[in-house]
Amino acid sequence: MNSIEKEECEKILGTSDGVTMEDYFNYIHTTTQVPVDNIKNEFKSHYSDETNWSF
Amino acid sequence: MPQVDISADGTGFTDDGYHLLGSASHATNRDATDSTSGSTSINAAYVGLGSVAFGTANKFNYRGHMTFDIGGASIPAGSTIDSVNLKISTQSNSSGFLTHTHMGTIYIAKGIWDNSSPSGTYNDFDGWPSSGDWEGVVTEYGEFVSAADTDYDISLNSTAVSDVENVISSGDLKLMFLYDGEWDEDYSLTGTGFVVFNGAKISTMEHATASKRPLIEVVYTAATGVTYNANIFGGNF
Repeated sequence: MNSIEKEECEKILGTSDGVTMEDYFNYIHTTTQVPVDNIKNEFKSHYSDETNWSF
Repeated sequence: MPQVDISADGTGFTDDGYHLLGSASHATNRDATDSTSGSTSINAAYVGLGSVAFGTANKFNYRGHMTFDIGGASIPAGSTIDSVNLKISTQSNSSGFLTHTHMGTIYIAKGIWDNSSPSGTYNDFDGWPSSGDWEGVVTEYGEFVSAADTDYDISLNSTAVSDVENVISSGDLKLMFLYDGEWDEDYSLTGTGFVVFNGAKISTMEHATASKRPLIEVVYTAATGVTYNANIFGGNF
């Protein structure tokens, strides 16, 4: 995971160890009902300067 | 005086968690009877209002719920309950893609669900009206001001104490957590991001740190005048 992904996981999941961005997106899906693929697209758009994603 | 600590239920229909209802309107959500989603499997009970920059059904109302098994706590029958304290912890704020802000007052209402339907318990708090004021109408056990990363020790009121006393032998104490945005019908939100959430994220039984999980402390006075029988030589004296 890049630094953005690690930071987001730590903020929301409490850790970046032993978790993946799929865990992160599933968490957001659970709390918003937005489909995971849409969340991924929005996430990449939000951080448009970054291209090295793990998902 | 003796005290028992009772953790929130962590499995089944009574597992602690939250109800979630999404639509185009927070006001519509407030007066609805059933949730559309929710979770008992993540480590936080969401209580508040939210919005997401996607789709049209993008306004969300969240209500937290917890159940405590009083009947299973071995409090002697006939005891007087002296106090009930709720110990809970909130989680961190976040900003950026997800903006979560702990703020406002959280009301603790008397839950009345029958443990048979998770989604159907969205409006199952005592006194819920189909519209209009909640203040003075909904049965309240207590309240607290939401702040991030805070451990709370909340003394529940005499109504809660009485309700616990009534179910010493068999029954539950059920808590529904409600945000003041719903309570006062103020649906303004603070913050920007793909997801904005205002209210409280209360750690649940799924939290990795045991000390952050919800419990109640019940202090009681055991009944006096217990009759003891001695069986001597086949006679009951």
